[in-house]
Amino acid sequence: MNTAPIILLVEDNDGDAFLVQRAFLKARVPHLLQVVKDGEQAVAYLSGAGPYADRSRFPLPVFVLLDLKLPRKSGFEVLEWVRQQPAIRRVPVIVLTSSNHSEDVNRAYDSGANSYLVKAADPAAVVELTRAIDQYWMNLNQQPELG
Amino acid sequence: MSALPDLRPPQAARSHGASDDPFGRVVQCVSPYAIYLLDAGGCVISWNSCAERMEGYQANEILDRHFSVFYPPEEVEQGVPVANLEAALVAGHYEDESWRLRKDGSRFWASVAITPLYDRQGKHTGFSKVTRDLTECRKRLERMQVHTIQVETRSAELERLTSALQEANSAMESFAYSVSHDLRAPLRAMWGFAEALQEDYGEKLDEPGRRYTRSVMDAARRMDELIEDLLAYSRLSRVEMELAPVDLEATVREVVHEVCTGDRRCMKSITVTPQLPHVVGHRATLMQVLTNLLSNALKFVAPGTRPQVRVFAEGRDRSIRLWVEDNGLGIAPEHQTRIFLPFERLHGPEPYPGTGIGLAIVRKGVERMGGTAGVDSEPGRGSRFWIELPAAGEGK
Repeated sequence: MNTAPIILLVEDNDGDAFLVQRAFLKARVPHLLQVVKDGEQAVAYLSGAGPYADRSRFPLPVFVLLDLKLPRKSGFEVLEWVRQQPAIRRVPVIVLTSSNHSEDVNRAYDSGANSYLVKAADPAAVVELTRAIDQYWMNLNQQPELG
Repeated sequence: MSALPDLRPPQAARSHGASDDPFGRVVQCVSPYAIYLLDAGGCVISWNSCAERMEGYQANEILDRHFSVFYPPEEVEQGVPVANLEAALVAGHYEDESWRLRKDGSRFWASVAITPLYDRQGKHTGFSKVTRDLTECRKRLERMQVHTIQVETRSAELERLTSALQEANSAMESFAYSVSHDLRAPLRAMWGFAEALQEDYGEKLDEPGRRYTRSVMDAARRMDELIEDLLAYSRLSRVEMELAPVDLEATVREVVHEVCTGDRRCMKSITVTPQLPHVVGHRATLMQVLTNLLSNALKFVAPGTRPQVRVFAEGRDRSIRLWVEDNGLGIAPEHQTRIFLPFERLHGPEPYPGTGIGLAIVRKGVERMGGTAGVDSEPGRGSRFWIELPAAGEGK
């Protein structure tokens, strides 16, 4: 790939989205963050539909950071949908949410999540988290083939 | 009214039950049984004095009358009296409980036994009828039934209230839980943007501006701790706890390491008496409880004093009491109960920051494990906090 790898962030809260982006910058993670704001947009992006048809501008992400509480289509629904799509079913999905409710955690894994992370309030902790995500999911993790 | 036996001679065939023979006297006296002699057609030939009292008739008023005068009119209409006699003839005996009528029209609840009588030749001559007034008995029974119904109603009401209370409680807890969660989103923004402000525009702010920004961040940090503690507290009520034997010593040592974040000096200030016993509990909850107790013991010391904490156990009947003894500030007796309530604090945020939920978590956690918690303290002489949990069996 000649462009920087893409991370898809599915996050409806602008503040959270901004702070995650900022944390990625501070952690000097050399990736491009694409942000979509609800479950339907996430599905559209991943299937290359509508405004996201141009894959050179909106390439498939190396992984998805997915919030659970989303308008229109919940994170669980997005996750279940992804796992049913032959072309992208292997894409790593990392849940990033404010709930540490064990029911949510279990359901996320049952629906095919690869990891489950809880949003921290402390900005320093958010930077740590993004650094750890980059370290593990970009550098250590062996990426699957998509499509 | 004659309560005494009428001593008319026996040849008076139809008498008021008077009799000279001993059996006759017994019959006369077995109050409260009204005893009648009826002829084959059901007319009263003789009766005892009790019958007179029970029914309210004088002897001359009742002799020769058909015994159906004792029945309520609706039963007479239905032919019940005659049917009863027939039933006695067929079965050799008839017993019944029902309403009977006194002369004044009042009713009483009667137990009645009718037995047909035969002469030596086997010819049917009449009936004996024994009646007992069970009105009081019936009233008692009714009162008892009413009472039973009341008790049942009340216990049903109590059950309903209990379950309503449990529902309200669990609704309250899930409310606390979701509120705590929802509070986090604006908190993240508050903290994150304050920090962004400080980092990106700190140089453009003057000193008060930078101080205000720091205040926002400090407040956010405290609120985050508060939410964290609230969540931990509400989780304690919600979570199912499976109780099992827990190695107290291993757990205490692990918590000491965690509370001191591995710091050797800190760990040296906590003395754990070796060979602590096993207790029955929930390991994660016990760790939370011990973490709060130990961090309190390290935290609430007078400025300049090195904390000295001693952890030891004491067997009590079937339970184990674990003591956490410190050389801290101590707690006055009047505060010793309320410190276990949520949000109760004895000190301002400086120099002892905290949310005031720590000891509430201790108490709730221990109670959920079937134990108790308390404190023994005097201001200026340190505190001895204790938790008591069931001992694990098999001589451990």
